[in-house]
Amino acid sequence: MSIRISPTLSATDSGDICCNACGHSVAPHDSKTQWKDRAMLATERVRGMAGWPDAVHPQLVLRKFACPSCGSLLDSEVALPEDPYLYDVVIG
Amino acid sequence: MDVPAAKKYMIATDVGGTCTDTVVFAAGEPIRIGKALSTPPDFATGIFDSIESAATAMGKSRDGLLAETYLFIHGSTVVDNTIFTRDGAKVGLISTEGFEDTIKVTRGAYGRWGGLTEDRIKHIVKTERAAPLVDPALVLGAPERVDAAGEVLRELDEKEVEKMLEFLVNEKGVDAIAVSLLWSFINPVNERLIKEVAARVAPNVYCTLSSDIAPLPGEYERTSTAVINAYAGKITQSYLTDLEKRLAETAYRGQIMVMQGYGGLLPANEAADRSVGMLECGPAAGVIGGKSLGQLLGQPDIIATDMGGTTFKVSVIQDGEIEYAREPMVDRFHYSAPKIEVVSIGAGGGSIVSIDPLTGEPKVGPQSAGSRPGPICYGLGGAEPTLTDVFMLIGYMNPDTFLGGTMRLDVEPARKVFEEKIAKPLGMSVNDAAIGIYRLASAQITDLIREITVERGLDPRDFVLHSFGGSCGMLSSMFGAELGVKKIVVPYTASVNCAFGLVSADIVHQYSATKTLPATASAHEVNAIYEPMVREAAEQLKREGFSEETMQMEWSVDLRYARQVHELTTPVRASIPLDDQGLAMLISDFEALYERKFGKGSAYREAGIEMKLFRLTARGLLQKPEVPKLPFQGVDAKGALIGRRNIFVEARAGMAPADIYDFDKLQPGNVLSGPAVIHTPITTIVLQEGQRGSMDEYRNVIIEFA
Amino acid sequence: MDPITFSIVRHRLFRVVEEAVITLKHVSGTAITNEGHDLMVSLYRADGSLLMGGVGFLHHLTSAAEACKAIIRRFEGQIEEGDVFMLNDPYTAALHTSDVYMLAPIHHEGTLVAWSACFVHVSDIGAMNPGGFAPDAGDIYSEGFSSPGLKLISRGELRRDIWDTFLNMVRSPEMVALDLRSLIACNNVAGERMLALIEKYGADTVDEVGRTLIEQSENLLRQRLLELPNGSWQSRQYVDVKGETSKILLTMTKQDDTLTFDFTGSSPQSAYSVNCTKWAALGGLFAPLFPLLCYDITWNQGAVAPIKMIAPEGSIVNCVRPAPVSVATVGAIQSVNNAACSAIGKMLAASEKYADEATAVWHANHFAVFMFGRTREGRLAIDTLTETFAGAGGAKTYGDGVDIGGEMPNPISRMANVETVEGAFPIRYLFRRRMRDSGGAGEYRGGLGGEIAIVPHGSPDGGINFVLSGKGSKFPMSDGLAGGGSGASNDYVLIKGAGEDSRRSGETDFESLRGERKPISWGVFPLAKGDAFYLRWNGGGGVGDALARSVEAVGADVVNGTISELAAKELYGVILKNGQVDMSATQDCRARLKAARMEQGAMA
Repeated sequence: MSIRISPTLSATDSGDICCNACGHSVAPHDSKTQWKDRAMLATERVRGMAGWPDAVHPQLVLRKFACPSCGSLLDSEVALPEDPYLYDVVIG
Repeated sequence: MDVPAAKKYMIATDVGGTCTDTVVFAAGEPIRIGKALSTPPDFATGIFDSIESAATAMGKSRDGLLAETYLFIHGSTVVDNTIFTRDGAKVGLISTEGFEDTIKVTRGAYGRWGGLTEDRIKHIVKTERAAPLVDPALVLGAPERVDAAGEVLRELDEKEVEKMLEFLVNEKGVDAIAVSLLWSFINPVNERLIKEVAARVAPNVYCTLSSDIAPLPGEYERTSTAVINAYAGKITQSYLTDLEKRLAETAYRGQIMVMQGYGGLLPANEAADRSVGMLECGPAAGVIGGKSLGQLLGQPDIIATDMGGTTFKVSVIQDGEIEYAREPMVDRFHYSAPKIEVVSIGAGGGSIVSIDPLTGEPKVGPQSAGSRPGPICYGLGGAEPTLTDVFMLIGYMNPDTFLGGTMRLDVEPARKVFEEKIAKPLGMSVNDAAIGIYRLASAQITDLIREITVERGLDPRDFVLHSFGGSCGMLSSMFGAELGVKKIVVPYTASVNCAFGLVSADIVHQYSATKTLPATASAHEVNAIYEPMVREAAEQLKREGFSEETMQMEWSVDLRYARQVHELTTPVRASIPLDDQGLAMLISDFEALYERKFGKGSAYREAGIEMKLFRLTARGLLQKPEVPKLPFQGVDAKGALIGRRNIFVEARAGMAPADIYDFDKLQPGNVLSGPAVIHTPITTIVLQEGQRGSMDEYRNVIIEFA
Repeated sequence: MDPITFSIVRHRLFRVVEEAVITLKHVSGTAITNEGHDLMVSLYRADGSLLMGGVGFLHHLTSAAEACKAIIRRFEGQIEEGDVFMLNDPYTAALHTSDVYMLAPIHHEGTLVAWSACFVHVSDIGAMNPGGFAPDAGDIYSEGFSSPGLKLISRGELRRDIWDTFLNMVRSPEMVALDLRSLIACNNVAGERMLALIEKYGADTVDEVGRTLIEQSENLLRQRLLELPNGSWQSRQYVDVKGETSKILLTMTKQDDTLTFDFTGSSPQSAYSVNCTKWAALGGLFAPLFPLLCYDITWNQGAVAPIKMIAPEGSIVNCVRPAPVSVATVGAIQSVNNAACSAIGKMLAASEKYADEATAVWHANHFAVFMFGRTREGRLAIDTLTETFAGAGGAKTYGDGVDIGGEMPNPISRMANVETVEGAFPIRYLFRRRMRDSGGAGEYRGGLGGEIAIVPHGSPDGGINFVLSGKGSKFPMSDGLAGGGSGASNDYVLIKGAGEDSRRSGETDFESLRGERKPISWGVFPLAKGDAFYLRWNGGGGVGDALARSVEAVGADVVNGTISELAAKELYGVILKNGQVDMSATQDCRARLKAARMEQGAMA
């Protein structure tokens, strides 16, 4: 049995956090780090993205977190490079 | 208009959502009523059924009646229906370049929350705009621009117009075109050019200019109005043409007049071009009916209530004047055409009673069982308890006399369902729960009426309540008492009030000119604005057969304080054209009206007063039929008393015995005391304890308080 | 109490607020109150807790409660029937000095039974910049008249000394006087209707209904919270003012039936007036919380009870006197608003049952543009651009956001017609439309924001001035959800004409605006003849993976002009040829883009 913890992730009974699309365990229950730390990270600059005005901060980046197994997009956030990830922890 | 000697009847038929009602008038004869079910989308069938129903009551054939009829007046829900069922034309829209999104953007969230109740507005995530009536891909921007002063900043090239029309008509196959350019109501030159070119290159396409249909400021509402008019244009034209044809096939040779949402009539050929004018014309006729009844009875201040199967509607007549809606809407669409203000809530005879699953609270409506499947007691398949079932449970309706005995009602199935779905969850007996729901409905209606009167700075205690519609008579003595109105009038024509209103109306043409003038302007300047409108109106009415004596021009002006947004339409009471005293009277009338409506101290007078819009209501006076006056027969109502039974009496907080009367046996002059019930073939009237009922010389029932 | 009486009284309590709102709008007659709906009217219990909150600007429901409590504390023993109090100090309870609270106790037979409170954003408050937003202010002392509580009316008698002193300090005192009169009238009506209700049903019954409603709201909200998963969700907002970047970090934790909003980790307070006080932060939380979690629950104290907030003192969301706060309502409060919306959205999206109620962040970049100058008739006027109320809706987990669909804190806002603005003010619009590509990319697209350009037109001075408090061009604020992109940020550009009398009437889009382009965001700017002011505002956040958006939908978006072909390709992986979707090229493109996530990414 797995419970939903976000539109893209589920947690198994034992607490493994898995990708909804392929079932891969992105963060097994005994991992010392959060699932975001274990996902595939793609970073791109926001300035220059299609449709965005140039006034946007030159250092602002878009972080995309994907499933290491199937590449499904699990979450994203905008950030200045020096700022840590935003962590969501769902206990259920 | 002269009445030809051989023809003495005037027929008025109102096509509503559920029923098509007919009223037949002739001098010296009693008013005859006909009713039939409406037959969308081919409404004409229902119209003829309804006329036949009236004819039968007169002992005539349908064609026999029509052969003796000189005027046919008509109101119909056909345009409202077209909008609600989304059944209109494929429309192309031409806006000013740079502003093509006006119709899609609806002034931001306005279109997203407009027309929704507060409960739904709070649930923001689930609210959505209605899809526009024009496909966004069929909206073009004309390379033109006019400014606030009417100056053309960018001229429109005819070649460009041809290109746009080529695209819309030939490539995309639109059936109708709406044109709405910025400031066109001040200077319509570019809109008119488009119409000229369209007449040349696409003569079969229905073309509406915003400067024709709604020459008022506010491009979103004006554009929306043009789109609605184009959307329903062809349907309206063919509907009226078809009606004309079918009437021509009978012996009827008179004119057809069509009701407009502002409470006036237009000849059919003109109404055919103004589909937007027919929106809500039924309720408008109802208000005119109320006003006319008020004139007959010497009552200038009226709260007119109309309870149908699904909705409860209220409008206010103040000092004989009706009020126009400031932000009219149809379905989820705003528009700006003159329309009588009628507010409504979902509390009709068929409104479903339910318990809120989250809070356990009882609710009345807004869903309705309509007339099919209808209330449980109708036995037509209804499975949800409705207000009509509640009326049955509290003893107000007689199962044997509904619809003149042609339909037997069964209260037992209603009682069982009500017990299970309402009484048990509320932890009350069926009786107490039914009484409670009745009280709840009455309270909701009271609140609605307070809203519409308080908003205008009016006190319900200064008003007479008119009770129209099938179910209203069972509630009006309750909410009327709570509001403290002066008295209640349940008219003889209560159930066909809209049709009655049709015969009380005049031909009315509305004109307006937008211009800002300070209150310090001279009367001469104001007259100069009216002069061309009056001339045009007089010519129009002359073409329709009216003479100087049968024409009436009414002026009214929208004024405001310069730094505030509220505008008030103020009637011109002085003689026209105005002199300086007359203009001064208008200004002081405005100030008094403003203070009454918006509160003492609410006017920032120092900013000055501006006149913004000049309205002309041009009337072609129609001869109104006289409502037959009957002689008084004495106060004793015993001849109409048919029994006694238990009904809910508010003063007893429960069921108590009451006198039951047969309306048909009541005579003018009869007096009776509540608690009592009067059964008419179509409606039921309830009097509470301490109330005194009487029948006047027109067979209206009057309820007064001790 | 029987459920019928309860239902009737509940509805009538609600009607008390409604009628008071109508009175407020009627007496005021100003555009900002009537069109922008920048107002709030609510009822409070005798102790100042929220009894019935209406649909005004939602930020104020709880801060007005605090204002009530502040008045009760300050004037203890001196609160009498017929008194009316005024309060606008942000460090006591108000959001910023322009939002003036008027509070009136309601007495029945000598006993204090309830309070009514209302506010409007007054036309001017005497701050160093006109209109009430003072981007130039360096401290609260430059932000105009400010009071922690004044008794304006004592036992029905207006205190002329206070009235005159206050009006002495503001520009357009006549208009501000009208604002005050509308607030007084509003409270009068609320008091009258409340007393009428009490006369009819009895003080005990009405009080019982109030208490029951509060209990009911608390129970229902706690019940709903229990149905949502336990966890913590984070959200972050950046604010830029003149090159200084501030961060608002929110960690929202739901444990059983309580919800805690912790702003630890947020930047210290700013030198600029984007800060907000802790009351304002609390208010900002409820703006998304009420519609997202309490859409079917009465908005009162009960819905506040399960909520806690932690806001470190001296941070940008709990600034310390004398930090400037005049731009709070489009500054830090907005950020609190957005962060809370994002976090609550994530929590709802984590629940099977409530996923449908989740939303990406709506129009988050509230901006304030006030124009002032002489009108064609020679009158000096201050007016606000109402485009900020036009907003943009965040996407849902099942559908796109509403284009120019409004904003969360102001459920019934709308923007003025172009003709209304052009009729009242010496400007002309060159265009006004939806802003293509501004909606956050996602399987479900964020609603588009809009773009406008205005030029001076017919101004007797040749031009006008405008005050811009428009943070939000450096950083987007309408966060996406579950992989959805943020709505594109704002942009404000002043286009300098060459001084010639160019009407620019053929310049109907951004590209065609001729002249030197100067990006601006904060301060007072002249708009002279020949100049143009361009503004584009943010879209709502998107939901889900843009590569999962239906290809047909993207194709239709391009045709409808909501997404450009470039964005279709780069963000959605959809290739078009001659306006038609090229399916095989699209499949390739999407596969490539997806693979790129794997290539580029290093395990973090």
